[in-house]
Amino acid sequence: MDGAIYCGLASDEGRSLFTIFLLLVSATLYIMGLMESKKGHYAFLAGLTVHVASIIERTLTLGTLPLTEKHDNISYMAFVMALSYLYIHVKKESRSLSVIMLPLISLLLCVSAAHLPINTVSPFMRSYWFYLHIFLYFTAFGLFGLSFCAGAVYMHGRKSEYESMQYRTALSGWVIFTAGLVSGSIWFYSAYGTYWLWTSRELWTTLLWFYYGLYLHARLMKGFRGRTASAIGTFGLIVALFTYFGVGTIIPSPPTQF
Amino acid sequence: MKKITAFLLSLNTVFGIFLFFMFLLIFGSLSLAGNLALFSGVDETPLFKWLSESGTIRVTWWIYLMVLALALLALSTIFCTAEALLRKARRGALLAMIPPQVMHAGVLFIMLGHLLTASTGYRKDVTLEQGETTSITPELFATLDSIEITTDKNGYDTDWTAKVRFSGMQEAFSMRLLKPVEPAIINGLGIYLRTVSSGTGQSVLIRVCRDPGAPWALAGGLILSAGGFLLLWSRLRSLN
Repeated sequence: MDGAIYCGLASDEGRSLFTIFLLLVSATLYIMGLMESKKGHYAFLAGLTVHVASIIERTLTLGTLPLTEKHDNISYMAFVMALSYLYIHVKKESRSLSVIMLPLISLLLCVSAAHLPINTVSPFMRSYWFYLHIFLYFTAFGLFGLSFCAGAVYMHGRKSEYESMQYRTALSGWVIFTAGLVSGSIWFYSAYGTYWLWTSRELWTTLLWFYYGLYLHARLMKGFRGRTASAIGTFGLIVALFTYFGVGTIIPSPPTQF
Repeated sequence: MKKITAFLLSLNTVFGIFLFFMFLLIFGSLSLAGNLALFSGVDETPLFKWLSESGTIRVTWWIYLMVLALALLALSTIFCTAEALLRKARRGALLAMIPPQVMHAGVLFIMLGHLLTASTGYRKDVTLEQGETTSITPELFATLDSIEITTDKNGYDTDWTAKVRFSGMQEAFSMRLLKPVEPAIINGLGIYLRTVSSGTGQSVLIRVCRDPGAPWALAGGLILSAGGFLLLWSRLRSLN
């Protein structure tokens, strides 16, 4: 019996290590995407393929979509950014965007790999609303990441197409983020009987929604453009990442029973 | 009156409220972190009841200001939405240009939902011991029959089921199976399974709540999302 348990754990650990290995290989290939000419493009595609393999591996291990904890969520956010990058790259190759975006995607994968995969799913997470919430939430984060990169490129080179890209991706991210919050509220209400909690994370998530809301209102209603507007939009990702990584660690929340 | 209308219609007012509200959110998160013990019970009671009972306005003043800022934002949203709809109707392009106003309506519904939840909601946590009948409201009683816990190969819980019998003062309800994310609705009350314990004696912690604001918040959320996707579709189409 002990032996069986030991073998099971060893097997779980082995699968976790394999996933981490795949993510690190993928991160390396994404970085190699910075190479000039076709080689870079093929390296990126190879990175994306290995990344997809790691997601499939996690799906098989968990028996459900791998969206239930930090390791998988960060990997998924990087995946959204990689897909967006591919879409943009096919339409129009942009060296300046690659220089910011590929290292950011690789960095995210390294952060994901630094979090040990958890191979169990809480009973409270077994809900379609939960999966929809996380899927939309981290799709939005991926788009905020793309918006950040486009903004950074705009601030460096002042090409208006990047300012427009920053706005469009921020708007797309914000709308999807909104739907993610709504589906999250529905899930939380069906799980715990409340759709709002007084925790630091909830307050910062609301802050993030208002932050992008402010930027988009200013851009839409007042024609607020240029370097300052772009800087405000770019800073949104910092707020998003702080909300995800910093809040709860740096700013603790009151103990709740949830 | 003209000055008040101009103030509420001004985009600068909206930006000012946004910035003020964001400041309150940051301050609030720090206040929560600095007063963990005080705020540990805030989610167990409807907000306005908790505020009146906690009696700590020196710590919780930012929540009052949040309510004030949201009230101002709601007023401004109503004024701006009405003004924009009238303007667009005059131009004859109402349907093509209303997504932002649809979103505003969604936000107003959500605010109304939160207001109703904070002022008229009801929440109570109750522990049910196996075989014992417990009063969960003056008119409703519950008896825990049994619990079932499913675990994975590593011993982690993957599912819980609690068999609970409910009865009223004069009527008996059928047996209900409570599971995580699958609450039972009895007499308008939501019954949620929070935790299960299978130690020396089986017991479960359930939350009983009535939330009149939830349907409004849900409607608001759906309207807000629909408006958002409409807005996205129209903007991206015009940019392309």
